[in-house]
Amino acid sequence: MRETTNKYLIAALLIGVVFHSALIFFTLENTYDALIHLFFGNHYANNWFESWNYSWYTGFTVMGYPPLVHQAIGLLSYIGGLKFGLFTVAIIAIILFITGVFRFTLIITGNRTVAGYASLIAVFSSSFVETLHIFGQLPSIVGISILMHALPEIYLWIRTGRKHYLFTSLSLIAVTVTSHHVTPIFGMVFFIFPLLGMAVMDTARDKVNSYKEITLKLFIQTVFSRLKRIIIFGGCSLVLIVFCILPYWINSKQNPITQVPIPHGSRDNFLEVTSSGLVFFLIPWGILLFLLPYIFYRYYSKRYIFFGLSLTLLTVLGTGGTTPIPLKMLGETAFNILTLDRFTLWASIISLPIAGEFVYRLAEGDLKKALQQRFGTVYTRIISGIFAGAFLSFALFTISLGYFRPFQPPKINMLPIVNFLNQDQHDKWRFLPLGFGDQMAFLSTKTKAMTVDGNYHSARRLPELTSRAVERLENSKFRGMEGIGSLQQFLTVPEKYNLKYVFSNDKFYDPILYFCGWHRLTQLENGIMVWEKLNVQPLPKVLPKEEAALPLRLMWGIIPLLTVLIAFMLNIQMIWLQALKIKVLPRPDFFKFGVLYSGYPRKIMVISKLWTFFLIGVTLWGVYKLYIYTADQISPENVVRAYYNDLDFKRFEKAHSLIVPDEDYPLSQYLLEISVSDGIINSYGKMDAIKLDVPYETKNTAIVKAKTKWITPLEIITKEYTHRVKKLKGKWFIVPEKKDPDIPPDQFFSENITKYYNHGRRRVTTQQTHHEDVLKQPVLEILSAKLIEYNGEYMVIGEIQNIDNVPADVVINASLYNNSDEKLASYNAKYVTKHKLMPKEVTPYRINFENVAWLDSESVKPETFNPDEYTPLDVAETPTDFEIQSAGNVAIKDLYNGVAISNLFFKGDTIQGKLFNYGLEEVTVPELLVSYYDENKELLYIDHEFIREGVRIQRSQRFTYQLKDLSKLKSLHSSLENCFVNGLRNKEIARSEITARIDGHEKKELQAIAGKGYSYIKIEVNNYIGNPQ
Amino acid sequence: MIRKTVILSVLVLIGLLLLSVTLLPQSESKPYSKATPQLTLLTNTKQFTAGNPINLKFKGVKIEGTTLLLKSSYATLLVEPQVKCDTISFTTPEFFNRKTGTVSWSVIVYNKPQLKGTFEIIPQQETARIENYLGPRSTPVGDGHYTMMVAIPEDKYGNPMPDSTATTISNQFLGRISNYNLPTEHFISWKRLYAPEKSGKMLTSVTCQNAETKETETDIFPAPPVPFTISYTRNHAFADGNQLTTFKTSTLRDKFNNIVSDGTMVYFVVTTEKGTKLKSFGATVYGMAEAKFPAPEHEATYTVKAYVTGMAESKSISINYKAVPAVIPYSFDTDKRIITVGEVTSFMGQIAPEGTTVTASLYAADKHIATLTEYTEKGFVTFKLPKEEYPEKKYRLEISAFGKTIEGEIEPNEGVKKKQINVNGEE
Repeated sequence: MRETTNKYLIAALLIGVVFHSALIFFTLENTYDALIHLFFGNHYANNWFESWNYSWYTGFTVMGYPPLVHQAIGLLSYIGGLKFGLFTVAIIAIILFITGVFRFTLIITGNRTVAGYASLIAVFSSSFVETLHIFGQLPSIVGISILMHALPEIYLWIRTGRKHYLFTSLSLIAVTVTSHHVTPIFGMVFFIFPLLGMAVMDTARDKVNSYKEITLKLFIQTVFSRLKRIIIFGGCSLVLIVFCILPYWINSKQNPITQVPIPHGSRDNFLEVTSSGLVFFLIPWGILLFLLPYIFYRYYSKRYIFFGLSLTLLTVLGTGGTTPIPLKMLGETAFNILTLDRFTLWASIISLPIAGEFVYRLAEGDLKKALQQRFGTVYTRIISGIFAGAFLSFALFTISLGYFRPFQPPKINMLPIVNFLNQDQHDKWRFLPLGFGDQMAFLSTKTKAMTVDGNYHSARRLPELTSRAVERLENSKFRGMEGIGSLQQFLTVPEKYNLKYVFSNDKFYDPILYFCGWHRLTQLENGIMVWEKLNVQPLPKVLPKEEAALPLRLMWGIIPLLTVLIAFMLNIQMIWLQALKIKVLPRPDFFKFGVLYSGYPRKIMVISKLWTFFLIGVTLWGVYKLYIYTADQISPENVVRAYYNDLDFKRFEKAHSLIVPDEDYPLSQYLLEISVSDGIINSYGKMDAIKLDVPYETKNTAIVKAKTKWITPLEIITKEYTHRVKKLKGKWFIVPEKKDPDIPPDQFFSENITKYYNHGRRRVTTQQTHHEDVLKQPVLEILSAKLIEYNGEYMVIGEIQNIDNVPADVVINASLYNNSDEKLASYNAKYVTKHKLMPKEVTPYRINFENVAWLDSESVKPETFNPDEYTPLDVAETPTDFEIQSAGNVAIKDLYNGVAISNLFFKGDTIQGKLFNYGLEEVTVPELLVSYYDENKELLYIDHEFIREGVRIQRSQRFTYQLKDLSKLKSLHSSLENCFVNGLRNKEIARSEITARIDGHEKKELQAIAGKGYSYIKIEVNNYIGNPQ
Repeated sequence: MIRKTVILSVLVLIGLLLLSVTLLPQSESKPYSKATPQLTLLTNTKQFTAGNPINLKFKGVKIEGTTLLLKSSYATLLVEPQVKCDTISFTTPEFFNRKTGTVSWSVIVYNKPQLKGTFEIIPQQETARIENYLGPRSTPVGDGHYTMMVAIPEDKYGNPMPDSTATTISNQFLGRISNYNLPTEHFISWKRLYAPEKSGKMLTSVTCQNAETKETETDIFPAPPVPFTISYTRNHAFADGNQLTTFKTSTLRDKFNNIVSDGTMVYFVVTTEKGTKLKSFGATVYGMAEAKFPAPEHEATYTVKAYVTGMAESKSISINYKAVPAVIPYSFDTDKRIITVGEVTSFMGQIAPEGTTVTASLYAADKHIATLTEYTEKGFVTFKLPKEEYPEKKYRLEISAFGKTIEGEIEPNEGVKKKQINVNGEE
């Protein structure tokens, strides 16, 4: 019999290709992974046989990820550019997936119509849609699709023993291996083992009349009869898995993942973290959840029993941290390395054939008949319609997820950044993008400049990155303080990484950049702010490289595409014949085992119904719970929670609607008040947690205490607010807080200030800056330097003055030495100093020594955040001496000094004071630098405090400062002996600039105070301006 | 990768070639193997000018394997001969002719030097350009500070001119132009240009024969300031907590009477009667620094002194702020749970400036319960004493504003109802 073309498959392919191809142009570039694959593609396009890539993480090996998909992108990029390559590979993946599902269903059901239905469902399967359009995991899709294509060949090899099938199946396995390493390994367990079981079962079936007659004995006998084929296939595929990506295995052995486990949503408890539950459980399963009883019923029939077991296992593993089972099954290590969402993906793919079967039965099979008989035609149509509608709308919902809740910042025009890097030799330094999302990978494909960051975490080499569970420096913000910890280390000692430029797409990072001594350079036309650090050396001409051996690189470059070529040659004849139906082909074995769909089991119908009702019930209950939790004004807690959520997301109009309606307090007034309040929380804070407490409540009034926790770029801030709430007409409202009514005395101000400008080079040329244009480094003088031990930490403190006539950017680096003059540690001054000094300005400084605790990867996994949590250096020996290297460079910005300390009250251990901003710039984050002195006016300690509210122009701001207890502080060594300024000895350079100096002048006006371990203090202010005029 | 294989195959080829050379019959090299040629130098010139061709001629019969070895500080190279009848001549390549210095040569036959000698390449007569360096690019005035000019006159090939070439280093400062004629020594001429006692910009240049440099400049910055004085201005002398007092320095000058650099940081330290040290900051513009400071909210005497740390300070001045003759009336609501203070007035009887601090201290049985602080709006503030926070029957009150305190009592009721009872708060 000549076969007719399967119209469902054709329809699925047409719809699938058009639907997904049209969509990927809008979705793919916003996915999590696609641009990473693009970056790798770019790597291969430029250096096919190169294993080392300098662009990220100070260099990493690309042998950490199977290369086929990347190489395919690279190869196609020669035709139409990188993005052409990406999209083409994506379209190929779509076709492979749809046809793969078709062939997989064919061996499962042995029915071409059912397979056609299954391929149609595959097009809109929410797990596929999510993997492609939200995660962008192309290699994963290609891997699983090719694996599905291999399944019929494997089945036929076991059944017929024809060598042809062995070769075709192995060739496809090889392609799978080279495109995604995890797929074939787990695919062996979850797809191929059940398939082998089914093949054996079918062989056993041949010997008897029905599946029921197959006994365990017979089954085992059959296994032995087929054992040779199974072993041949298993052995060969194992060899292929090892051989095809041998460089990968060698690399993972040489560079084991020392990375602290990165939190991944798929490991969460989905009931607690509902967003993870949605993304990693509900969406991949989608409407298939409703079919689960049927799917399990079918898979637990004798023929499919192994698939049933596999599906059960996958379903359970896919639940992540919701149940303790996955953790126990995988063990601690595997659980923390693997992303568990792939199990759900596979589970949903295994379910597809049965779902296809169900739809077939519903659309034209026995289920339809049964339903029509029992409930009538109309009911059946409505049910089918609802089912189809739900299925389609769920797919659309999944795709649109990225549109309504963007995972990435809006698309950034990279051209200005690329131009900036190419200009003026800016690419001689490393850069760091902040707030770019995964688009940083795209930036890296466009420039030859290198970044310390990167987007492929398994390849990370810098200890700062591996020791902390932050995925990228770039998204530090979303990991809270721990991430910032990693970032601030890079910003504090950028010299170590030749890091000179930061591209900031998020003003959130501005304060940390400022307080680490960076300054704004320019705003590019795409809105990206460029920050620069002075005194950073350019990259050396020759960079270290760990290149793989030549044979490995050859293997890596040749084998993947070769596997595709071989697989193509081996399979092309079959595909050709099958597609064009030129010749009548022998019907493959599996068609014998198709089930006749006669009579839909009644029990299953009932169970399905109950299950559906149960799911709908659960959904409704969830929605109700969500309503009770989020409904804004139904309780005192809710109104306060809603208010802070609105403030956090800057929905001020809605926030105002929660305030007691008052004609005298209109929205415009509220918005005005919001717009003039500046400060670290108002401008940079992101609410992390809110805990509500109602200490007092009557029927219509209550007091709500809100303990809020804000993540700011500088520290975690916990702040308690007390709100009075009122019930009016059944709704709760917040009684508004009074604002400071202070009004400046004058309306109009003028001020004379000195402004500075420094030409880069006066002549426009690409040559290196001519010596004429190099400014002399401003001379600094270190006034005091001291090594202290406080709270078990060693610190170097002191004071430094810019004694030159031009403003100076100050970099202070201190090193600790032991008795035998061995260096123990070295670090830069971070927050506790002013980095930019006017001529003759003095600043205190404190240098803490931070550790890069990377060897000890177990210990550095803090469960909770601590604002001051950084990694103090564990100095094994007692440092006895220290050295300070300071460097001045001409600064022209961030020199604002217009904030006076206008009032101070001392009350026990606290100081209450007032800052007054008499200048013409609004100070967003004022920082107090408090120096402590002993009774002899010798410096003891320097402390800092970020004041949470900004100081507006011509207005004052109150602050409270908690004085330290220094009774346990130990002064170890005080000396100006090994202090250097611009590479010269401190004293010599200072005395040559200023021949006579009034000694101890800086200690003349200290505030006497009776403190714990100190007698005097001095307060200075460091002003961060968020929006310079 | 590909490059490596290419290199490898080339190396193998060369190796094979070398091997094949050893297989050649030995007889061919025999005729001239041992003969020693007789050569005499014909060229008498011992000096060549850079850039001119150099040709060494020898009389003698040419024998194969004769080369000329040249050694100079610039390069060492072998030159193949040209033969004309009975003379052999060697022409050095052009690049070699351009660099000055002593060149030693030797004619080598069969790896053995036969004749040796030296000649010299001297720079061209004309100075084509001057390489010059000036540094540091800024220096303080006087006190032996200096900047140094180093000049190297060169011919057109970049060869330094011979010693004693006359150069002129010039500098211009405040209308005075000085020229120093300096012959080069060890190829350079240099001059320390001592900083004058006036600040400004010093321009320098170098000339030598027909060559000139462009101007290079050094900033002469003022020295640290010497003691100075400060003054203050303000609108009125009342301590209203609102108006600003401006502190101002006299023109800051260094010991040579130069006005200090713009931006010089001046710290104004304000000491209150209690010894609290407050601070304001100013940076000089044309020698004068200004800082502002808000008036206190109560009668006070401030002592102000200004510092340029480590270098100079001013004499201290003292500023008196007069007490505002304030009026502080207050009232309660019916339940005595809301205290309204107002209208607080200032020195002319006008409403106190917005944001004036009013504090209410509450005592129950002489125990301090709380100090509430509010800021006036149109002269009024209200203090709320909700029942849940203030359960006592009776409180003693101290209300203060503008440094003035009045006392009173309050006996809160249970509920909160709005009806005013006026209490006269005036003295």
